[in-house]
Amino acid sequence: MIMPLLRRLGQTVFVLFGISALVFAVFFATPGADPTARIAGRNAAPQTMEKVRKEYGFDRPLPVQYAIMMKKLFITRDLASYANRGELVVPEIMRAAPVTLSLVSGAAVIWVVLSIGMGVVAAACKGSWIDRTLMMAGLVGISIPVFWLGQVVNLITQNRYHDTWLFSWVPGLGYVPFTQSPCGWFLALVIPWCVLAVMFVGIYSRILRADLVAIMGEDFIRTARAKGLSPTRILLRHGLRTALITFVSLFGMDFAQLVGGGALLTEVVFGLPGVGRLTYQALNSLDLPLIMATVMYSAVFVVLANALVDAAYLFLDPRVRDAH
Amino acid sequence: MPTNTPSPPLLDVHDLCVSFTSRGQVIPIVENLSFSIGEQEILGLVGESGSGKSVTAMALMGLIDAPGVHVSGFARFKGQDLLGLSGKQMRALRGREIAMIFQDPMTAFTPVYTIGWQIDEQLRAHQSLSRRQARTRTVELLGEMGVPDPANTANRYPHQLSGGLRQRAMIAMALSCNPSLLIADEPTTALDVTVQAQILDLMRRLRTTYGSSVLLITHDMGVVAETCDSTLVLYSGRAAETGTTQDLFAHPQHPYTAALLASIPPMNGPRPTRLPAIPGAPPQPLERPTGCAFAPRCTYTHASCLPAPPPRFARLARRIRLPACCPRKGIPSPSAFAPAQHLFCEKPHAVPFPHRAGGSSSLIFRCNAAFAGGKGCLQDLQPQTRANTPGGRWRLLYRYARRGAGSCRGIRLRQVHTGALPAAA
Repeated sequence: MIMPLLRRLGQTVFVLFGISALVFAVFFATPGADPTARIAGRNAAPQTMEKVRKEYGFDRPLPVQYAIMMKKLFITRDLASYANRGELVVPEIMRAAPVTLSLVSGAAVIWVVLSIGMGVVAAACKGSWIDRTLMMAGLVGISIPVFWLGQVVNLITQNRYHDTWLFSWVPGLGYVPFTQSPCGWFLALVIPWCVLAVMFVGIYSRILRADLVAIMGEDFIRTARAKGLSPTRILLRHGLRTALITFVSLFGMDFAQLVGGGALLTEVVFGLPGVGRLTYQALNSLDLPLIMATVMYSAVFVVLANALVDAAYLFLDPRVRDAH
Repeated sequence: MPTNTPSPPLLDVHDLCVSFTSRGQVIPIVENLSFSIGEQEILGLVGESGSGKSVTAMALMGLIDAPGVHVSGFARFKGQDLLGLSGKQMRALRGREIAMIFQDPMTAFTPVYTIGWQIDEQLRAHQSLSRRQARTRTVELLGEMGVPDPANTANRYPHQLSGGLRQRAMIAMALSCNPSLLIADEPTTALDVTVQAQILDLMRRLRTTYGSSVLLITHDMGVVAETCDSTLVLYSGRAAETGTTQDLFAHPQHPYTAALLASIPPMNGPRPTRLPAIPGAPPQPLERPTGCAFAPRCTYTHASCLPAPPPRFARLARRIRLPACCPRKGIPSPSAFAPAQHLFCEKPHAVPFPHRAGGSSSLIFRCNAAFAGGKGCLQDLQPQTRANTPGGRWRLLYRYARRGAGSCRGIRLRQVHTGALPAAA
């Protein structure tokens, strides 16, 4: 049990190295583009250029440049954004991360609970109108673009009907830290959670239903029925438990990419200062150090989540446990 | 045999029909199947793939719930009709009174739980046991099934066990609540021969150790001969023949049974260059002939087999031999098959078709065109002529005449002596 986990950790480190090298190469070692000028920003003074060149070692060989960049990112954490007047990049991300994490975790709870409920009910009532309605709702959820839904919800809750009893509780756009006011945190996030979860509820419930329906035709379900178990127990303890293996792997990937900045649209629409919004701003102002940092941050999350999913696999699927 | 047997059979299936509707057509899968299993009896249900063996078992277990499937008939088990029970009543019976073992032990266990957990689950579904008590019983059961180191095996996952061990665990699970009827759906098909022998041995011992009756579904005549008390041969969803195994193997009455037995390589005697095979394939359920389903492939087809299904046999008593289409005596035994054709094919002759003729021990042979045209048969059979035919010596009783003295459609022979077969002329 410990060995496979350690081995997976080793792989994770290796993958992270690969990604960082690749990202570095794309931004700083592209032939024909001078990274000094890009970091220093538009119309920078020659003194600034010289300072940047020295600081990042752009006059030295590439491996040294890479090492300096990594040192600035992970060890001294003093990578600074010149486009943003010397703002330190790493603390900026560290400030944004809890916002994104709050947004995505809440949405994840909603979408996991709802999609498991919808998927199981639809599979249990396979072929009936309940099944068709739920799956149709799922399809609608998948089809609605999240930015559009966000804007419409904002229009309704912040503008049109804000003064009615229904939406008068909705606070203005923005984020309230949990430590400052848990209640405010919840109120500020509950609508973004729902909006972000809508698409995933659709995808996950449809996938879970398909999986469950396929599993209910398996031999072991027939065995479970022959044992005289109740239909509910068969569906949940035998069917759902087996279907969860696929579900968890999907969830890990989606969760990671959202935490890594994939919730960009939701964050921008609801004015949440998260990692996605930070990336969006960095891209707007072509702030290379910030882009480098957010991409690395995102990569770390995706790779870590991957490792976590694999670890979860070890617990969920005994067959995988033995394969290592 | 007296009609009022002292104890009623454990399971008495009468007129079981399973059909499903597809595109507005009713497709019969199993038609009018009747059989019974006594206490501690092992009944073999034999047939080709698609003959409806498994469907019969699933119907009895109430496990068919696909939309459009219609199950009718009557299956009395311990005084209640299995086919008429509600879902809840059936669930209480499943696993407790009637348990089932499946063909492929590789896929029959839920892969994410240990073997022990799954056996505990069945125990606790039907009996109020604590976790610990259930586990103790599980380990005990596994031990009785010959699983080495049962306490540890109970904690292993299905994929960690060999096929034989898994099937033992499956049987242990099926027997966990001491069921009175065990339905085993091809329990040895996925196993190699040595393990197969062990499992069959285990199943034979069940009736003494657990007092269980067994419905053994298989397509392996060897397994049947080794294990079953009585046998029901199924062909294309209909019962072809039923009887005690000993009887059925020694004197098959239905040409299909005989052909099945003939296609087993003989253990002694000269080695045949080719094993006899039944030509053709079983009909699709929708294309079943109205008469005997086997008729299109049968060498003994008689006009009376064609228009209507074989007469449903009266249920006099258990274990009585009730052939579906053949005479009670005068046996188309496997060894008689080839010479019979040979003998009768030499000259214009009657096509040998042993047909049941009332209660007498006589046979009706259908005549082929040449014979019907009056050219003679068996050196011009005359009344009182003796003829050597497969199965003994026969005396011609009479011809079925049709228009004119010289032609006849059939002859009726009476067996006068059961002797050795004449050499093929």
